[in-house]
Amino acid sequence: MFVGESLERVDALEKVIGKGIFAGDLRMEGMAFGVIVRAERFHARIASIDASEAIATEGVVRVLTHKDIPGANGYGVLKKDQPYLAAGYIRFFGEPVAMVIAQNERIAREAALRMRVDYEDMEPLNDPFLAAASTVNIHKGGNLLCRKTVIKGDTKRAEGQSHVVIERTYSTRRVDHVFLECEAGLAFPDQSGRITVISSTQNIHYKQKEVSRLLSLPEERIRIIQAPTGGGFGGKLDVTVEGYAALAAYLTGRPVMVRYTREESMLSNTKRHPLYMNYRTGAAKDGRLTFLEAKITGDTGAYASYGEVVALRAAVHATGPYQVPNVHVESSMYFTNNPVCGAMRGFGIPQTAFAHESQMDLLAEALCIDPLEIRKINALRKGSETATGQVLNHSVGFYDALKCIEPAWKERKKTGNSGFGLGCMFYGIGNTGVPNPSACHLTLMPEGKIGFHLGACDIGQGSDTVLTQILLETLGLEKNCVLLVKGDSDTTRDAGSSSASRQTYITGKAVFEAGRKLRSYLEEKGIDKGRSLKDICSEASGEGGPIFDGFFDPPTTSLDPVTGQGIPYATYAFAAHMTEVEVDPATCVCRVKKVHAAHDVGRAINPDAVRGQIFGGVAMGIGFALMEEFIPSRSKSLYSYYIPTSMDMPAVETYLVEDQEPTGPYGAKGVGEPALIPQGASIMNAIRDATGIRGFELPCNFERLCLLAEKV
Amino acid sequence: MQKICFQLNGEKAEAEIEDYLTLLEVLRDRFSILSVKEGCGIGECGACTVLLNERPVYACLTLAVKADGCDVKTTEYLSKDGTLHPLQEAFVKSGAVQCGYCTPGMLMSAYALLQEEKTPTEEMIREGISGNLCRCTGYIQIMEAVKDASQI
Amino acid sequence: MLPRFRCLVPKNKKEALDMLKDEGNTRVLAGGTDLLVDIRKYTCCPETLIDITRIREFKRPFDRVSGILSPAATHAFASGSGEIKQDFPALALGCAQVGSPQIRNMATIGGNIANACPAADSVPPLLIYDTRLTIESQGEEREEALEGFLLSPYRSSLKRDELITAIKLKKLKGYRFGFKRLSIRAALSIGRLSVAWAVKERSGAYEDVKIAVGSCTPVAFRAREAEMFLKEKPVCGGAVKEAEEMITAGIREKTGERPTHAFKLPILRNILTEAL
Repeated sequence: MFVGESLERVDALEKVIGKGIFAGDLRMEGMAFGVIVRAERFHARIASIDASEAIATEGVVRVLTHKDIPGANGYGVLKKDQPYLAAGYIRFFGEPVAMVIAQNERIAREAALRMRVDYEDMEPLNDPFLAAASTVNIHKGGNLLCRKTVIKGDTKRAEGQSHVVIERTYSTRRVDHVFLECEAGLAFPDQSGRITVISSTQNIHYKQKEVSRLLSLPEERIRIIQAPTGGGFGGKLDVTVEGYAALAAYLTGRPVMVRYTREESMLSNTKRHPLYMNYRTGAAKDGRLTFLEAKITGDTGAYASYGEVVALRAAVHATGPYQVPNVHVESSMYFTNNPVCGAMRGFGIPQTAFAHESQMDLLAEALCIDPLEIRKINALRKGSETATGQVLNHSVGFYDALKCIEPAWKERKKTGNSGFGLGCMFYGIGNTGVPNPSACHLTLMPEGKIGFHLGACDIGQGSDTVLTQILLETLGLEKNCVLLVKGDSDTTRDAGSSSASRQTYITGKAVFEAGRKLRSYLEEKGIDKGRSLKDICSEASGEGGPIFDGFFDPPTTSLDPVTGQGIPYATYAFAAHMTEVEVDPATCVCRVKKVHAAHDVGRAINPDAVRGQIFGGVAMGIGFALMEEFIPSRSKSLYSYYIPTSMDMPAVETYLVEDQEPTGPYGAKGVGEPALIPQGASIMNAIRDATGIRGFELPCNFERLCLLAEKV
Repeated sequence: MQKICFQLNGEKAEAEIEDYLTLLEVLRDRFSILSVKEGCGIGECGACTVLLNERPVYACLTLAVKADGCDVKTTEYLSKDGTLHPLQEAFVKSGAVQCGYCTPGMLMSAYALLQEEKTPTEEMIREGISGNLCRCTGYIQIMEAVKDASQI
Repeated sequence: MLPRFRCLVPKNKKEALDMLKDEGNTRVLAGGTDLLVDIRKYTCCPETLIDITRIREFKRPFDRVSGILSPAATHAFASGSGEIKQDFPALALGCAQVGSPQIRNMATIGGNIANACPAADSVPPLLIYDTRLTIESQGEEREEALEGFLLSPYRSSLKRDELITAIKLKKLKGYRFGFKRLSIRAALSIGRLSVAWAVKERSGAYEDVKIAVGSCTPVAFRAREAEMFLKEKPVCGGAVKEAEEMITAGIREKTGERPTHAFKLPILRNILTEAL
């Protein structure tokens, strides 16, 4: 039995003895170091680049600009609009202009300071509303990246039939991922001229395609290997150092390391989108929601990255986990001269959860209904229809999650400065309304082990362990029978990105499929009749030996481009958090004391790992709600950008709801992002309970809260 | 250039170093102690935490010359004799490791705490690791691990 | 990675003062928690650092009889030492809230003073204890009150060749003490406002009050006017409110109107109300 057991992480041992070797720890004979020279301008034209002093520095190997790029100077998950090195035009503070390659890091960094770049500054557009109205276009096609709509029923008619309508506008700020390990990668050419990149990443096969475009080499000439990765949270989905390291290695013919400092990481990395959300929500006297209108405006920064994905996910999830018969959501993303916003844990939904959960509390207040009660009344359940018209037929554990926290909610005791708040969410697992497959394969190895070829990237969340558990359960074999061959584009198949909480569900199902094929093969070969695995392996392994592949693509449909109707996801995770805060009336400092977190994960393959995700999500939610705010050109490093410390963490009680998902491996769904999504919202509702003050802007640090208190 | 001599994980260590090198750089580049990680370089994350004369410090803000004549311990010290220290075992068992980048520094802070206080309270544990950021775990399983290790 | 510099490690005070005199572009290195960050950011570019933490005369962190702290005493010492907790509790409280265990093990009180950061956490408590500094240069010695020593953000009266060699605190008897610090998160943070106080009451009236405020004005200050005003005023009554008004008006006068006042001043008033 492996499923449902809290197995130790497969990589924990090496990490506790200090042998966790990350990309930045790698060394190679003849290794050079590359440093990116960045523009510290928001919006400008490059007048000139003078590299003479840098090149003259002893130990400098070469200086690269966009002219040196052999292939396409543009990357991006959907739109290839972000240049690796600026071609004359600067769109955000921190945009790469040139790259200095030198014998070692010190020389490279010192020479980079000697690069002279002259700019002609232009007026920056630092706000999406300004960008929307401006005649200056940041990109040729205009400043609107995309507009996504979800339309169902007739909201105008429903408004007339509503007992109460609440309209409020909410906003959130840019957030940095602050994975503890900054981006790093080592690239080197081999004797045949292939380029290998070993990097800290959330996806190898995608990066293989991007590097191939960059170097204008066929994909099979590029090999990407994932090094142990020190956190990702969406920030290592886009190309980070891989392109630069590969380019430098290709052009110089030697190994090149690119390892960002925290300052470089914060300058260059994508951020969580700031969203401005105008919500109008109506309810009948009995608390049933009648309609929801939302106008969401996002600042996607200088390049597209995952902006379109965030806009769409925000629109599809705008209602929260509730039945709303009439829905009209418009979600737009604008280019600005701000840092590129991309994927970050939750893809826009921690933001919309803040809005819809505040709205639920406001409705409850207006209707004199208990906040938990109004959520129960409207909760999505088996047979409910979502805003996109999808009927949920199975694995809808939201009501059960609410029931889990109900005792704590009913027993809550408000003392002087404390307050309690609820936050709920649903989250579609996997990509939205597009094919989103995972593949993996198994081989038999001569030493009598099963080769588990896994292209999924474990970025700390524990997918290696969880997927191994699924395989072992399927095979019914001992733990040490499996050898993980992972994270290498040469030896593994594309398992998609470690994003959208999809690895357990999608890759897990592919692993399950492959495992079943191998299981029947082993049975055929007599594993149950006393024949050893070693025996079977030695007969079958080697060149031309059998391969057992697994594949899964969750059943979804594309969404109607106008109404957004369709089946965007095969399954959803659900969660309800209840948070207790204490707000010091003298200082307005809010401390989170206790969190009750109930999650419908379908099936907890590894309950300790699920708990770990929830705890981490709670921490990130505290940062999102109370402290994190990335201000371009001012948030330079961790002294001017705060994430929670151990002292900021509350006690957390977890409740696992296991409403099994029939299409998932052993019923599992996902939890990575759901863990975070409701937390910020529940804190804001708790602050309101503690102080009588409702914040509409995140982060609600003591400064903002004090200003709100002064107004009252 | 200066010559420094110090105890590194219980053994004598010597190096000729440039004055401006940090202990972080010297440990990694001269002694291949790769458990000492850089997460920020400015003493705000704790990934580079080592013990200098038994007290946790940030190696990124400690000039290597300051280690001269001192005792330096890193995570490698904990399982030097080939067996896991109870803290390391507890970290593995309690799910205290996710991405693992903060882990070595976290272990050193926890180790220093347990050296000073055999059975720390929850508040002391919280405080003891407050100089080490972790973005994955929310600290809870780390604190559980320290508690477990303290009871051994 | 830090830019290149030399680092000298004097063994005694005389050596250090000679080095300070002889060398050109120098900075004194103690714990390094501020200085090395500034150097990394290129906000300060010294050619030579002089590490004072190995100076023989600075080895003893505290002399109880004279109330003298070594400039090389760490925040960990100042917050953990039983003697400091007894003799100067507000200092122990303030230092306990600095940064993190690692920062407290590294950062020194002398460094915190000399850096003259408006948010220095040890400074408001030190002001409460009427701290005086002994400052030496080659062949010369002077004494100055901490209160006058701090001139503006990151500027003090310390001359290029001078070194703080002793930090003398005056013991206060019969007072109750407190320290409160505001920050965005609970550890590893810069204080956005810090207040230290010492209050002595006698039969329902204030006999003596000392209040120091940090992170609000270019340099931390003692609220002398309000302290004088409160003398002999009844504890219950409107005096505290008036004193708070004096302090916030004083801040406005020092800094002009600032957007941060909108939250800092009301919070400061609340803290003072609780403290007094």
